[in-house]
Amino acid sequence: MAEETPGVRPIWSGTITFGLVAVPVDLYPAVRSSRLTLRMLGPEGLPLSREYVCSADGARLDDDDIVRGYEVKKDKFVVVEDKELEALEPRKSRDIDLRQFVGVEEIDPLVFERPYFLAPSGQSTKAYRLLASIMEEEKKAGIATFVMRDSFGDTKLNSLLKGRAR
Amino acid sequence: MARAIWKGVITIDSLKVGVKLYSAVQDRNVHFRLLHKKDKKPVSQVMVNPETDEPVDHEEIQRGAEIEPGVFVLLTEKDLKSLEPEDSRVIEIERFVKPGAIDHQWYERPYYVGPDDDAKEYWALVDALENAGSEGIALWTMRKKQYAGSLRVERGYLVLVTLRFSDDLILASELDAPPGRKLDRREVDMARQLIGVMVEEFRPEAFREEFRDRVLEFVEAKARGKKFKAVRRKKAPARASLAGALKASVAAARKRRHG
Repeated sequence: MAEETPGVRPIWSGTITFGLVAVPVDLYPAVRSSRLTLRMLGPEGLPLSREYVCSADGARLDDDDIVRGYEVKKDKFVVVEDKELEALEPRKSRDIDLRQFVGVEEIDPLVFERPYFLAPSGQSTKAYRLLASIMEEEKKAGIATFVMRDSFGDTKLNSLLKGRAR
Repeated sequence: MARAIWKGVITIDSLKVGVKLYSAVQDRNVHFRLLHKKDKKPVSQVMVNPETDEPVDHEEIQRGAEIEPGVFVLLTEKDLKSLEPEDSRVIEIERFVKPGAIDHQWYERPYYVGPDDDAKEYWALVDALENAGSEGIALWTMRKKQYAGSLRVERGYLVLVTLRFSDDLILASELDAPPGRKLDRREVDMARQLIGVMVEEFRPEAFREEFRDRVLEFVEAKARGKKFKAVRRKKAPARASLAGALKASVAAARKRRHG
């Protein structure tokens, strides 16, 4: 799918589970930012690159020198490793746990945050097409929970999201 | 009540209603900091000249828009200021649409709208919108940014939800429809049954941010030098045969509902 649609690439993959049915899917962004992005340039007009340094000793840092920390009180950090975060996930990683269905119109737009498209991944598209066609016919939205974490290097953690598998 | 973030005047033809905007969502994400592994001190970012590897001082940094690869147009602070939209307090209602006319994909950020001075006008507008059963398309400029939004009534109050601009939407038509043979009638029927038994009233409060709570418990425990053991809910493994999985799922869902 990604090869055929240049410009729209999957950003994550997971498995919708509902009942005992598993539907492997790829997640595509449904929004983009069309805002003009400005680059930072040096005095001679050269585009600059972003680097990390230690705020205490000023040392230039590579990815391997950087860990993720949570500030439990001012200036006191607890290091949290990828492995530890994974163990805290309520479900197996990459499960999109479809918990219930509701009428599409019942959902208040206030609860929506960021839309993604889910497209079938893997060999068989049957389970995906079953789910999608019936949801569309019956005008139902599914309420799912899943954990999607940003890769290391980003300080933001995406917590549990309420998603619509449509 | 929460503090208002902005004041404006909803304008529909000659009708003017003074309102205050309140944020309807809050950031509840767990935020981490990046730390230097050796001394556990926060890292900071510097901008570096890629040729000399020397950091560049903040005052020396210029901003540019890339008009073609490698070619930048410099924009000074003054240029950027001159491009900002003019401030205004007017929230102009451009037209009204039927509910459901706006696809969910357009909605972005919700604000509660409360009355400013004249509450009478505010409630009149709530009534009018509710009776007409429609939502208004609003245009306004807030904090140097232009917005389009949907003015709706939710639980008896006005709500303004900002809408995305069309350039920011990726359409489903940009993706290919999944290929495959015609669906099996029996499987369609079973899937319909399964979805049917899983239909419930939507109660957003039933969905706790479990992961967030666990992460916070974990870091608190770790800070006190204690071990925190997360318990994972068990779930039956998925079946290989789709028809078998559908049948078993319908039976299980029915049992849960009646049992």
